[in-house]
Amino acid sequence: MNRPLQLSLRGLGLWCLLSIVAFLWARPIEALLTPFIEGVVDLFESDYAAQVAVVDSKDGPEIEMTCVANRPLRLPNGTLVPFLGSFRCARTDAVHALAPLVVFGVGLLAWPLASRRELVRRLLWGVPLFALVVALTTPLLLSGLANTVLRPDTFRSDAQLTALLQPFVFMEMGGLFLVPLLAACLGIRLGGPGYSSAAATLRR
Amino acid sequence: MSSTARAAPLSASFIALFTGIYTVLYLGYSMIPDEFLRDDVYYYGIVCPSRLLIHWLAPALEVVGVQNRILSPGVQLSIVRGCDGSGVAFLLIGAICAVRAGLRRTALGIVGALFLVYVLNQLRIVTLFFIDGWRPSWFTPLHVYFIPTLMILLGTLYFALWSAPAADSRESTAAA
Repeated sequence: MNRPLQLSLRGLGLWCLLSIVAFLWARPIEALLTPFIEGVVDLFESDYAAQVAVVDSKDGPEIEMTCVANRPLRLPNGTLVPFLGSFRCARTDAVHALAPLVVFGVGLLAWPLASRRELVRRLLWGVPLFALVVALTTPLLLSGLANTVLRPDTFRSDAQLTALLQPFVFMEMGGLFLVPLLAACLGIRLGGPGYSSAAATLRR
Repeated sequence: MSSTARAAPLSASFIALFTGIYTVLYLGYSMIPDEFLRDDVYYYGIVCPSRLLIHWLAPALEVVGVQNRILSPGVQLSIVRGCDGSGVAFLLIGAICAVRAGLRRTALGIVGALFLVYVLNQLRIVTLFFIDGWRPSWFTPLHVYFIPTLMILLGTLYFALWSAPAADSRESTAAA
């Protein structure tokens, strides 16, 4: 069996495996990640503090963010949210939030390995890169969705300006997959001696 | 015109070019007015072919296409910005250009990538149409997880197959 075919089969196999994991354990995985997601949202939002929880819906588990106002906030519909008042501000599908993590996992593990030591190094680099992928995907999406509630005027500009001003639009249009693919490339580079040996492994 | 790739996939220059080209394509795409996408690109490029395919698969089904929507009794599927496979196409074009494998190989790679993404996206639209009508509970997981990640996977595999000869020629050049 030639190596590109082997790479394809390994990619498909990993995708199937990680998809099963994502579907069966979306709830506990996301529940584990919620404190981290809250922390990242709080880093770049000053108007509110985020409370993130995994809730059930008819379509399966969802990640729900409640915004706790750090100062009195007036919503576009006229409602005044007092200091420390809270309101549900964003919601997204839990499995959707796992999609970039699965792409990252497949990218990182499907690429040919020269040795077991390389696998260990790649997995070790995978930990901080996994955190980076989480930080750049779900928190951006949740805070972007909250912005559509709090500041809808920023979405009324032309499409390009909206795309530039709203990082979550960039993420949802494909950045959601660019980030994990770049992180996987970085993990493979940092974890191994480089592409040359991987290409040699691929041809062997 | 050289067929030798000048940037190995996973090299720093490849990663920088890949990201840069993707971002430029994305910003260019953001400049296209919504009306043009909805009334022309999506209607003629996605809705009409999808309607034909649905009609071929289920001749008894009444299906109409209005602007960016595919309508039939009980089903209304809207094609909006991003539902056109542009994300996967930009990733593939960015990756193929970043390898710098020569004009002819790059052009052929891009044409093949666009064809692959277009076909996959049409299949995605038609599948989602039938799922929305007959298995609505499957719609969300298929729409937000399975189909997008599968498209990314197939796109990555296409890129791996396309770039394998480039990697070979680079290796042989290095050996010589």
